[in-house]
Amino acid sequence: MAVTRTNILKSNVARDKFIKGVLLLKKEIANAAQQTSTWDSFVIWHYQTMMNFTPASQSSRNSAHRGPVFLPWHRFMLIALERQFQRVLNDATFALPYWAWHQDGDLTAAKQLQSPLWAKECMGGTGIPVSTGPFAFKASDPNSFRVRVINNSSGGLSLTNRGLRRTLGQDIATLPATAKVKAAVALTKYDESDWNVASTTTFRNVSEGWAPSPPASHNRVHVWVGGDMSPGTSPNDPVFYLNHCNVDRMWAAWQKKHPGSPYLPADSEPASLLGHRLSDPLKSMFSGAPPKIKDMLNVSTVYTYDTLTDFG
Amino acid sequence: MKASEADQFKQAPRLPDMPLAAPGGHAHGGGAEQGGGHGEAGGHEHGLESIRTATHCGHEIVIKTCYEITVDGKPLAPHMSVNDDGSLNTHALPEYTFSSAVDVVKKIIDAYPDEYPCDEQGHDHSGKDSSSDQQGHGHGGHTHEHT
Repeated sequence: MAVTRTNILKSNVARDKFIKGVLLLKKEIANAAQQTSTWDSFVIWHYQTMMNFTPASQSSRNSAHRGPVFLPWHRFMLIALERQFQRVLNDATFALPYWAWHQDGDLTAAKQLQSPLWAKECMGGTGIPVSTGPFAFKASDPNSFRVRVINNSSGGLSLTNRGLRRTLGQDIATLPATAKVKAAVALTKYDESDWNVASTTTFRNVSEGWAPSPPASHNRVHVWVGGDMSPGTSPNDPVFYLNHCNVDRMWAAWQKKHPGSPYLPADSEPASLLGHRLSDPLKSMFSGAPPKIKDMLNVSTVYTYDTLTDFG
Repeated sequence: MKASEADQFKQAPRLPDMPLAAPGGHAHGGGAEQGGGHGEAGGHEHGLESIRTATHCGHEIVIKTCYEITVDGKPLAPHMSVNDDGSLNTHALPEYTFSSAVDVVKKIIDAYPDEYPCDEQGHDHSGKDSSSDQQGHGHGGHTHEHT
């Protein structure tokens, strides 16, 4: 039976389950030698996928970003994490919540910083390190939320042991507004050549945030939150998943609005688009055959959203 | 995908063994599984190569842009790519878009404080005379661009 994803600001039950699940996954050791957790494994998976260039002859489009696979791969990641939450919470009804950041984006810049999302009962606030809420850093408490895996500026991954960092509103003053995401969802075509970051008229590229005025949409949320949401190890911050759940909801709204618009590129496109064509496998960190892009197009028995109407 | 198929992802993740440097360690480029397209693969030591291609009036255009960046005299190789409109992206800050390589490096310095501690006094970390830094940035970073 499909679970239903809801707005984290409208359901305290969904909010509290999410926080509890994050902390359980963060405590569950996946690699004893490195003392990294199941949560950290998702951080590493995201980073490895981002650094897997498709094709290898260029360093822009990769197995999760800057190309058509952006939306399917992150849908896969969300489904996998949701199942991990269900396991550690022993709750098959658990569904990831989303942050409707465009609704905050309609507020003034000052009020965006005061959203209840950043309250101590929810995600906690800004800071280096974050010092309020469930993911606050407490130097004297080794069980407080710690970032364990980070990338350096030249592309390597390192172990660390420090608090979560956020710089809300510092790198860019405002979140995406509703009018912008409605305009993205209204676009008819999914993607087009050059299958990268140039298109201003395709849903994938605009929802990822490379157009019309970067950073937009998904990218703009990362930049606005800042801190650990800035590098490729951005899944360190639980807010990463609240952001991507809203991006996925945008895609669900787009699919509903444009039932005749196919995923592109098709399988007939050249091998240079390997990893982005309809039947290509997604980069996985699980044993067994990885799912394919086309497996992510209809997930109605896995989860649904409580509403899509705010996207027009 | 059906719900029953999604249940397979309740299993423990199986990441390949990978080198994770100790805290404070530098593993340059270690995260890239396939590094083609940047300077390390192209024999351009400490450099980066972005390749743009296009066709115009039946002619094939290839533009290779190489960067040699140092900060405080030490190489920085942040996987930069140049877009068709000339803007820049870097995997060090994958959601940002920049108008110049200097801006990229400045933002990397801001975003990686563990690697580049901020010196608010403006002291030069390069070991050179800070008066030679005409823009007044105390980190001694510079870029060479070959297009």
